[in-house]
Formats: sequence, C-alpha cells, structure tokens
Amino acid sequence: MSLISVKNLTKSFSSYKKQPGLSGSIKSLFKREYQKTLAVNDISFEIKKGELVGFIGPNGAGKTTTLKCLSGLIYPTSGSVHVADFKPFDRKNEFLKKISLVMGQKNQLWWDLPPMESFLLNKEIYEVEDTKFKKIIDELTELLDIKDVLNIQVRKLSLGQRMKCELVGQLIHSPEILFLDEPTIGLDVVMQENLREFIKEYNTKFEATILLTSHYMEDVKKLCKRVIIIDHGKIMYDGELAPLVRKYSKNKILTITVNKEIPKDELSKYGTVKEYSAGRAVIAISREDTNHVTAKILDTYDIDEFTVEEPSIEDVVRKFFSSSY
Amino acid sequence: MRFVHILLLHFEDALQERMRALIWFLMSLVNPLLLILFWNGALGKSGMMNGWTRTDINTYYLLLIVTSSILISHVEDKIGTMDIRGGGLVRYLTRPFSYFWLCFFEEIPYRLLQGIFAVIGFIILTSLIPITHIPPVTIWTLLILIGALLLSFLMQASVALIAFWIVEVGGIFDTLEVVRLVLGGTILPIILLPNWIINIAYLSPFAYTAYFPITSIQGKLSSETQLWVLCMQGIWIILFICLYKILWFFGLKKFSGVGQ
Repeated sequence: MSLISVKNLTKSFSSYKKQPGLSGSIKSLFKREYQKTLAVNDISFEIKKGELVGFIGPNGAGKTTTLKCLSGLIYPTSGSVHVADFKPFDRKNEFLKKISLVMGQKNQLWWDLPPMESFLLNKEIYEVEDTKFKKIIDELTELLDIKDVLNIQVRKLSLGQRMKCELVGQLIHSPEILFLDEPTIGLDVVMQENLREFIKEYNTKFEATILLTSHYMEDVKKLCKRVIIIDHGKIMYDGELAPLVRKYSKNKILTITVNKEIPKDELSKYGTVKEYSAGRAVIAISREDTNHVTAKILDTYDIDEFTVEEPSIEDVVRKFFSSSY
Repeated sequence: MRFVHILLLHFEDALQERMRALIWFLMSLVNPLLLILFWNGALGKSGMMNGWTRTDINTYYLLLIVTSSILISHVEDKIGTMDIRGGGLVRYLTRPFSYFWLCFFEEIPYRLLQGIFAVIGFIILTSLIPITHIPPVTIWTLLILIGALLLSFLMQASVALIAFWIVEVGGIFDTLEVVRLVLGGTILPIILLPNWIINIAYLSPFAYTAYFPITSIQGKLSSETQLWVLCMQGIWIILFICLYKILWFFGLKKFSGVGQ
C-alpha cells in the first residue's frame, strides 16, 4: 500500500512575456502576452511507507514544485495527489501534523531568539505534550549534537548549527513523512555527512517516509536505494539506483598506490588511465573485466593500496541525460 | 492556554525587536505634532472651529498618537509583500494553525509595545501642550477600541490578499493609506471636513478605526452614537471576514511559493 500516490500530476504557471527594449515596455502597457510554463508535466509515482527516495534533476526540472504539491503548498493544475490518504491542498490539520517540509537555507526559526523558543512555538502549534516534547528534544539534540546551542540567539549560530536546528524544529511533531528540499546545501563536507547520517537514522528509527531532493549526488548515493530522475517536468527514470549505475556506467574506478612506479603505457593496457602521478594511478576499467584485471594487477605489481569504486553519481546522471536526448 | 502560550512567545520576539516598535512610534508622532502646530496657527485668535476648541484639537491629535500606535495595524506589507509575493507564506502553510491567527498574534505584541511608547509620549506631551479633560474610559469606549483594532487588522489583512493576483501591491497599499488618512480622521477630525466627505467617511470603515475611537475617549459621543459606532464596526468586521475568507480561498490556488 502506497503512502504517497501521485497520478498524472501537472502544474503549470502563467508568466508574462515581455518583448525586449523600450518599445516592448510600451507595448506591454496596452497588451501583454502570457505564456504557460509546465513546471511538472503529467508525472506519476508511488512511494511506500518507510521508503527513502531521492528526487534528482537539474535546476528547473520540477523537483521543488512537486514537493510543494505534495506538501499542500500549491494547487495542482491537474492530476491527483494523495499523501497518507489526504489530499494535500486541503491542508487538514491531521495531514499537516503528519508531514514536514524542510527547505535548505530557508530560515523558519526566530532570528533574534534562541532556537528553543521556536521549538516551543512549534510544540504549541503542533500540540505536542510536554513529556513527549522533552523526550524528542533530548533525542534529536543528542543525535545532532546541538545541546549547547539551544539557548544561543539563532543569528549567532553557524550555518551548520542553524540547519540542524531547523531540522529539529521541523521534527518536533515526529512527522511520518519528510520532504527534504536540498537539506545539505551550503554546508561543509563534514556537516553534510553528519546530516546524512541523521536522515538515515531518522528513516530507520522512526520508519519515516522521506523524499529528498539534492544537487549533491553524495546525498543520493549514501541515502537512497531508489531514485526518481526528473527533467523538464517529466519523470525520466524511477527505480533503484544500482541498475542505473550499472547501465550508464560501463566502468569501475580502480585506484592503486604502488611501491615501485609502473609506466603509464603499461597501465593503459588495463583501461583508461584517468590520473597518473608518481606512486598513484586512477584507471577506469571495464565492469565485466573487473575481477580479471584486479587479479592480474595484484599478481604482477608491488601494490601498496588498492580500491575499486563505482563511478560518481554525477557521471552516471550526466550520461543518463546525454543518452536521453 | 495554547493561544496564550503562542501569544506570549510572540511577545518575546517583539521584545527582542523593541527598536522596531520605537521607530514606528516615533514616525507616528510626526504627523499629529505637525498638525497641532498647523491648527494652532490656523485657528488664530478665535481658537474655535465647528464647536471644536484649540485644546479639543490638541487633545484629538495627541490621542491620535496613542490610538494609531495601538489600534492601527500595519500587517499589509508583511502579508502582501513578504509572505505572498516573497513566498514567506510557505512556512505558515505547512503548519496546522490558522495563518490569520498567527499573523494576529505576531501583530498584537507590536501594537501593545508601540502603545506603551505612545502612552509615555502622551504623558510627556500633555505636560507641554494644553488639552481638555479626558473622562474615564467607559465599557462602551473600550468595546469601540477593541472593535477598531479588529477592524483595522481585518481590513489590512484582507486588502493584502490582493497580492495573490497583483505583483505591484505597494501602490495599492499606499493609496489605501492616503484614503485612510483622510476618511479615518488622521489629517483632520472628520467633523471639520465638508459634509459630503463626512457622509462618505461615515459609510467607510476607516472612520471606525481612528476618528470614532478618539472622539469616544474624548467623551464627545452620546451613548446612542457609541452603540451605532459599535454596530457599524460589527457590520464592517463581518464584511471583512467574508472578504478575507473568499480572497484566501481563491488566492491560495494562485500561490506559487516563488522565492522559497
């Protein structure tokens, strides 16, 4: 049984098209030409309870618009959307208490007060009982390691601390469904990793259903088994990440550190040498030949360190898009 | 208790931004003080116009400082420009609580804080400018003041919802403000305006947010007039509630959350 069901969802926006120059401005005084932009074009998908799904695509692909439709912020032009048996746009209180929309770098906390005051406001708004509130705050602040900043003015917190506080603020009512729009944007690598771990743990611990959009492919790679790729408002792919990687990346990445230098020409026999420096080489090897090649390299040379990795998701998605057009 | 807690939390925020309330109060001083100067000069030696003495006018404008600080809402810019056009509405719509009431709870602390500054200013200014005796505030006057606060808030909130359809709402807000200044009795006590404008002003909602509350405090209204003022406030409040609900219902479908 699906918790989120989207059928033939379309959302269009109408915008005024101005001709260039002063004459265009004068013409627009009398007659304006409007054009319709399809932000989301007839998309359908379903998400089961407890799934953590990555929603990826380039800028303007329709990711955020879809999240806004799912959280009841904007009214769909056509199609049907059901989230936990509710029509999101009805914005029933029971529905709003089940969901949370977290938008990266969008401040929902009171700027001049410590985050605790905003948490208390959300506690009242979501009607969370005192004992439950205390338990959740203890749990979340422990998980995110922000116990020390709860009583410091939000404006004085670092971006990472603010983002963590934003997350806590959005999770006080223990939402079953999380819509995360670029939650790690602007954060440093360590903080991104911390947040990823937290999202993963929240998903597992509370069996929460999470739909995540991100430009950072690491987010998707580390968190999501399933991805939905969207472009120009259309769903281009909906399925597991692993087959996508297999299909659109014929190679694996072999990195070796050697004790005795190996000539580049010799390494080229095994695949495409992507990086080469004294003592270290990165080679793209054919996926089918991985076992054979790695065994041969290990037998032939004096290898110090050795790793075989999947290519970056950015590469996979790039190849996916270039093959789609 | 939930509403009280939410209101108190908003008070904390308003107290943090106390300078904002102080600046708005200082701005509200300029206009009435200039008008006191103007009328004191214009009335000349006779010192009387349409039954209003110089001290009546002084009292009116000094009370205007207090009432406009407490009763006149400035929520239109927040709702229209910041929330609807700027996309700030997103953070309210995902919460299980009425947007209208959250805005109201955000506004009330600023009204009270600004009101405190205004009362202090009033006490200081009345020691410098002669005024008439102000009778004790009756229950009817108190009801008129509450009605004025609700009406002002509802009117501004309803007009602000036009931002769902119109991009440049600033011009509409400015025009409305000019109309409010004239028909609400901010430029001049309405009774001193030409008859045809008085008739329009009495039919408009503006007079019930400033002129009548002030004249009620001054003790210039009979019981019958006070009752009539309360009825008119009630009618306008009901009309604006309906208007707000209709505009909200249709406007939300236009909301695109741009900026967020």
